[in-house]
Amino acid sequence: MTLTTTAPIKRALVATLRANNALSTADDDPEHRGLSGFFEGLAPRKVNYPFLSYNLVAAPYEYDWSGLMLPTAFDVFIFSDNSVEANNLDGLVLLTLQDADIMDILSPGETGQTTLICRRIADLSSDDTDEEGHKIYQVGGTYSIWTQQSL
Amino acid sequence: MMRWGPNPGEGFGKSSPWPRVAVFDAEAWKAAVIAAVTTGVRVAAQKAEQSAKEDAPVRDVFRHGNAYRKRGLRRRPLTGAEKASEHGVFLTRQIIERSNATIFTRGTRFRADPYLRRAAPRKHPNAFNPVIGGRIRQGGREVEHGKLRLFPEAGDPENKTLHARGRYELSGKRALTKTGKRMSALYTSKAGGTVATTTLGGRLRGEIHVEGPIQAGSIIAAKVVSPTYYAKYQEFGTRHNRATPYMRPAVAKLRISYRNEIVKALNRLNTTSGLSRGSRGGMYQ
Repeated sequence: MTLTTTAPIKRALVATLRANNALSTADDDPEHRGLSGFFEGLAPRKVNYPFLSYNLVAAPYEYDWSGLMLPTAFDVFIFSDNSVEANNLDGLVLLTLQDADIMDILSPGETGQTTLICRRIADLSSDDTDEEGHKIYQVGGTYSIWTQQSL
Repeated sequence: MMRWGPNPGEGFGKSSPWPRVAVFDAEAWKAAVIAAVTTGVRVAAQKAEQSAKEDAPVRDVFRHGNAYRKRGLRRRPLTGAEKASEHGVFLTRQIIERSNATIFTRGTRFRADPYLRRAAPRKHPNAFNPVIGGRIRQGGREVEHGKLRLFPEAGDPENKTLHARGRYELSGKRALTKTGKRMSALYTSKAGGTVATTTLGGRLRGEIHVEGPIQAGSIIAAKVVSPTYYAKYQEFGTRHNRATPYMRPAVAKLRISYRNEIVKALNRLNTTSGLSRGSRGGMYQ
């Protein structure tokens, strides 16, 4: 089996989040406008709130006799100018990812990786001020995603 | 610990009719185990500290000559007249540097870059002279305040000057001394001279340290702390800056190593206490 990196895990993470329409679709609730995008690392300056950003924190390679385990950690944040909305969307992200078989969303032969764990291990929140002086709420958490692939 | 001694209530006298027995001192053994685990935790925390320091981002404050290339820009070359007049009386180096800062090329299109214009030296780079004879350190390299130039060292023989951000850090007194005080708090060297060795850049890295280990009940824990106020912005990112995690990768990288350090410490204890299994290794695996 060809060795694959953390790239499929990122793809699977985003695909799993995108598959949940509730995250992207606005409803009648003014505090749920729907995400304007999913961004890796840093969102462009003029993106509308709310949006989601994710970042790979760590991915040490752990080899054993039969394969490779990737115990990765991802930070997933919601940025919004409304704290209630940020927390609501963060809750939806948690529901989407917690114990999900995220690698299952990609075709199995494509990556060769299977999900071992997908769990939230920490809450993270912070607030900031954007270029226009508006208060921005950054709410999210760290997700521990472990995958295994045969070599 | 295991020790040889008399039965309880008996003396060590040679006339004692009873054979000596092994006495297991549970309290001493427990204390030794705790000490061994504490040592293991300390070593593991020091490893994590070292790893975090290696990963911590450090802003480079020295010119490397390729800053413009990195940004896809290049500096307009000096004209022959400017080169000729650089050492003349009519056009000082300061004016030449200003003129260079205003015109840059990106591809074939001329464009004045606001960042570089702002970052361009307004004075001669060597004109800023807060402390004659002072020295700045970054990593193992030192520069001299007066000349803003690296002291040549083995392995780093280049003479690099501070770039605009570096000069700003220095003039704004944001740099830290070795003692952790602000640069304004100059001190006299032991030799009696007025040498101020200042750390410029690397504050985040320099402040990472280990606290503990401490024992609370049955838990022995050590903390690797990054107390710099902007540490969390580097670790988790903000709306304006992407994250550059350095603490949690250190923890993840050494996940197996923590356990091994504690096992090693316990096995050393076995060896010294005579409970080792011999050549097969320690009793803790």
